[in-house]
Amino acid sequence: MNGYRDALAELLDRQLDHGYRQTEPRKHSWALRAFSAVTAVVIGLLIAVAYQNTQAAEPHQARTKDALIDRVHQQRIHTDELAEQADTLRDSYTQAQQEALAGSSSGQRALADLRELEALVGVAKVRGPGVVVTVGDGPVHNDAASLVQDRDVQTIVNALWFSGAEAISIDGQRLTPVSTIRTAGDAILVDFRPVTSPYEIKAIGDPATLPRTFRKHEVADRFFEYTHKYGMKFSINQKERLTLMGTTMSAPRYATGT
Amino acid sequence: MSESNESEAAHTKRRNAIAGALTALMVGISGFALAAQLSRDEDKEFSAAREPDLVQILDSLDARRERIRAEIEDLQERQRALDSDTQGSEAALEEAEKRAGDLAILAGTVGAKGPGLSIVIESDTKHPTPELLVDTVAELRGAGAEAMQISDNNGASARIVTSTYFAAVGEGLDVDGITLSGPYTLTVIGDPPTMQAALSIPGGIVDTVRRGGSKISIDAHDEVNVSATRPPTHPSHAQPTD
Amino acid sequence: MLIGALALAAGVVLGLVWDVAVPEAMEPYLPIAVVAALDALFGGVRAKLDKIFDDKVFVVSFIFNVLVAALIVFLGDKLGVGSQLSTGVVVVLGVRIFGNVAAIRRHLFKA
Repeated sequence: MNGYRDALAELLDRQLDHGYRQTEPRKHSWALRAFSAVTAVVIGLLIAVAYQNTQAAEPHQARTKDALIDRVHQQRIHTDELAEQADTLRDSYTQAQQEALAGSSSGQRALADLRELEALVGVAKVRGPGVVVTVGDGPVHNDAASLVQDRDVQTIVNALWFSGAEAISIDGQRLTPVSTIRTAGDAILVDFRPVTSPYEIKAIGDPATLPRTFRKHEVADRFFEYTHKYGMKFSINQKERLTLMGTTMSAPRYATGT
Repeated sequence: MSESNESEAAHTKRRNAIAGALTALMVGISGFALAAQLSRDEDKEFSAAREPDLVQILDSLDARRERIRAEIEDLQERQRALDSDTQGSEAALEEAEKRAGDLAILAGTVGAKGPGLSIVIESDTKHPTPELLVDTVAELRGAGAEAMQISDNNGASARIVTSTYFAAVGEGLDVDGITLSGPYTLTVIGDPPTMQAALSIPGGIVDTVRRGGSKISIDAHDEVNVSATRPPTHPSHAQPTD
Repeated sequence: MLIGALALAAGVVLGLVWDVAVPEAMEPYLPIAVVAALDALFGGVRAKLDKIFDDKVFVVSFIFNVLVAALIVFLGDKLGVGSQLSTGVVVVLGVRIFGNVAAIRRHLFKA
């Protein structure tokens, strides 16, 4: 017993190798001193190799969760920047197109048609009165049912269209005829852009009817019930002015006009 | 680790004050570090996602990046064409009309044809719910559907566009104000194998419909016709802005 | 002291420039070897400051530290307690490194 306590005390009190205490400082041969230097080189080498080895193992570690989350954040920022770049290009192209076509009456007609379609499919930025519907997860550990799923968002969006919405965006992502909304874990992918709870659904429409119709809709009732049952968040706020950004829209690949 | 004690007495008031301030600062930093460590990851986005989900999210972001890159290249090309256009507005006009033609297909203001599926949902007892159709349309959009319509056997049909809603009305369905009664035929233009696979995944649309006691049949065609159109509505509240 | 520091720096540079591929069989021992090496290093520096540095002790302590640490990990792996023993080695050497660094600090800052 005593021996163990001594070992522990020794460990904590005397960190120096016994060798240093027991020997009087001696003058050693040059060979031994060179050996000592070589040892120092080896120690440095070891440290550097370990460092490099750890760096080389990075792709392996990138599979760990934290690294994945970091990459998701980076990629989202990166794609958001790209989207901004596309917005700027689209703006300047629209401007140039405007100038090129404004000169002739056929050009003006084509332009008017195009702008209307752009607003219709969600390429153009629009502004108007409307509502902001916020829906969020309940306490996660509570129940899987308290998580907002893609279907919940789709149901709310469907009810908003029913209530007369003219344009809708989810967390800044404008809905188009080819928009996708899907669940991935606790996040939802809106047109491939991951967004997390709470989800902010903005809808532009007649201020006299849109908020009233949606509030009375069975879906709104159901979600208000979920707030009590599962602790979900759900709120409807009327707004005098909302701005919805436009989005990218490439030409159809399979469909041709008839 | 014995610290030197003998100099303590020699400390002046001033030095005590500095030491006190430093100690306070360090206690503060410790407290901050403790709090930061405790609250770490608590409200971090995506932290509740599992690794396969995160991989899926990353794949999705790759797809998004490719999509935006393609659009940027497309815009740059169109901009170049516009800049180098020396014969007045001729080419610009052509380009605007072509773009309008493309968008009209997506907006549903013109008919469209192309490869795709025709999906028939039929039920003797229970009628398909609006939610089922919302799900089906979402699944098809996820699989790259470009143009869709829903029709019944009485000749009623509705084009499915961004703002299309489905609601229950009596025994039938209200689709954008058009009343349809079963059986319903969905006609979709897109890549047939991709869309078929999306509907047939375990627990997917086909399973859901069958479990609900309805019948669903999916047929792939080299060419389907989406003939229903919707009038180009003039949005009265959503005004284009810069 | 100067020679030692230069030799250490040379080792680091060599390791960074020369892309050494660590054999897979050696990989589990690398972290332990690094901790053992750090222990020998700080022990040496402290001894130097205490004016009791001895080349022979330095060389032998380094070689033995690394070998014993590796042996413990190897035995642990064979007995199914590899990670626990590695932790033990890291804790023991960690305490020593800490103590030596504290002694170095007292030498340099007199505090």
